[in-house]
Amino acid sequence: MEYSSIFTQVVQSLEQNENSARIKKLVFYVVKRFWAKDQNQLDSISLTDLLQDLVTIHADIESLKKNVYRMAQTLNKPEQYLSVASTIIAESEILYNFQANKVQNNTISSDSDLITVPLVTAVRQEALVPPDPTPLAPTQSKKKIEPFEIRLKVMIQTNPLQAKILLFSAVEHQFDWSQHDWAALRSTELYELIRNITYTCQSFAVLVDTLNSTARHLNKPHEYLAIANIISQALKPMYV
Amino acid sequence: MNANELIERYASGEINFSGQELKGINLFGADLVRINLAQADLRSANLIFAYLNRAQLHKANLSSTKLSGANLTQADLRETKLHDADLHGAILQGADLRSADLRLANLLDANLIDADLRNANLSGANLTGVCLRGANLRQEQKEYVANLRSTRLFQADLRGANMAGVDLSGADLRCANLIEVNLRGANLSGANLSEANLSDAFLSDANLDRAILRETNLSNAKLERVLLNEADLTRANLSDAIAPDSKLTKANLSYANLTKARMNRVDFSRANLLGALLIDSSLIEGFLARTNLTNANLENANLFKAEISSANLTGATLRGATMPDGSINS
Repeated sequence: MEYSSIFTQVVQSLEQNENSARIKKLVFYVVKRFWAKDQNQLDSISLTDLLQDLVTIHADIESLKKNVYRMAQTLNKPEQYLSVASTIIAESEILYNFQANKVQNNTISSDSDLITVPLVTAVRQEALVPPDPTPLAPTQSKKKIEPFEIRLKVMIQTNPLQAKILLFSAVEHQFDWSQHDWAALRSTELYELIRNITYTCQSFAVLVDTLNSTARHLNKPHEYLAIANIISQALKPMYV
Repeated sequence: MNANELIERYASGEINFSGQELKGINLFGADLVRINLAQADLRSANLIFAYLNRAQLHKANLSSTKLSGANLTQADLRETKLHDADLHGAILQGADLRSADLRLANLLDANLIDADLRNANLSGANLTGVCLRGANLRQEQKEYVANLRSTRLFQADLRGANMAGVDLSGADLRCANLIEVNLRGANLSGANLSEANLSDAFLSDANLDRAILRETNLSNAKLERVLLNEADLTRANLSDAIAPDSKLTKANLSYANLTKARMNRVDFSRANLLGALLIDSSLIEGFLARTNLTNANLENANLFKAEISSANLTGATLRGATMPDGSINS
């Protein structure tokens, strides 16, 4: 069987899932790095294209797993989206396993199509087993993380506008006080910037480094370094 | 008076600048803690990142003023004109904003924790992402009520806020955190509360007619006598909700979860409960005239004395349900 057929099967399986709407929202979010604000935005792209992008931007299943879980964790309803994340990961794993098997089989025989059919069936059966537990999987998560609680921590300990300037500078480009950047900041919520920084920084160490080095380049480095520390600590539970 | 003169006089110990004409003044980042600017004219002034902690701004005119990132902690902003003001990311924690005019103001991501907003006018304001935990907006008397008509409160955090009697008609409360909020007697008609979290919220006597509550979490919410006529509650979670004597005529509750909900004497006439979960729910004396219960799950539900003669029960599960005549369905 060809990869394209497997890919179509995976897309169909996701589309027929009872959580298909949430699946598309989450895949869109991971791929586009922003939350679709309305249905039109979601309708403008097919799940096929989104899934294609999802597997293209993640070199292996492990990085996809890590990212999808972390992004789900930042959402309003993490519990519901973590279960959706598991579905996406399980289905994506079929594609990665297929590719891995294909590479392996190609080294044995050039007539790979003949032997991949039973392998694919085996892979699909395997995929029914829940994905490997990760620290961020719902069953493994020791601490319940509420995005509103994280934002609250940032808001009560810092100036929200300075927190936004720092995060914007870390995620987009250094805030230059131009009208264009003010307009960009006004159209982006603190909530969204917090989500985006967790996407950009794949480990807690990277997060700390990114925020600190960004702070050093802003106009009041001491103030922004203190804010960087507060944001890092507020987001730390997401990297446990 | 220009900015330099004001800053110099303030630095030398003077704090009373009440009633001053300071229109368009540039006080960017100025340290003006505890300054008295009551009744001052500060229209279109630049107060970005200014330190105005505990400032007296009672009845001051701050219309169209730039206050982004300003620190207004515990400031006195009673009856202050903040019409069209930009308070993006400002700190208003514990500020007194009673009767303030905040129409069309921008409060994006502002900190309004413990702020007093009774009788404030926030009509058309942008409160996206604000934190209003512990804020007080409750209605004191008939004419003394906060106005949040058509206000944007997308992803706002209002956990535990007191909003009893507030006018939120047509407001955008999508994805907002409304856990344990007090919205007793509030007007939420036509408001959009999709994907908001209202678990454990108090909504008794509130008006939610034509409100949009798609995928809203209302678990364990108190909804006594609430009006939800023609509301859209598709896939909403109403498990363990307490809603006796509520009106849900023509409401859309398709695929909603009403498990263990206590909904005695509720008017569900012409409501759509397609595929809804009503397991262990209490619907005693309910009025279900022409209600669509197709594929609904009413396992162990209590329908004693309920009017269901014209309801559509095609494909509905009624195992163990108490029927209107008191018999138990096998």
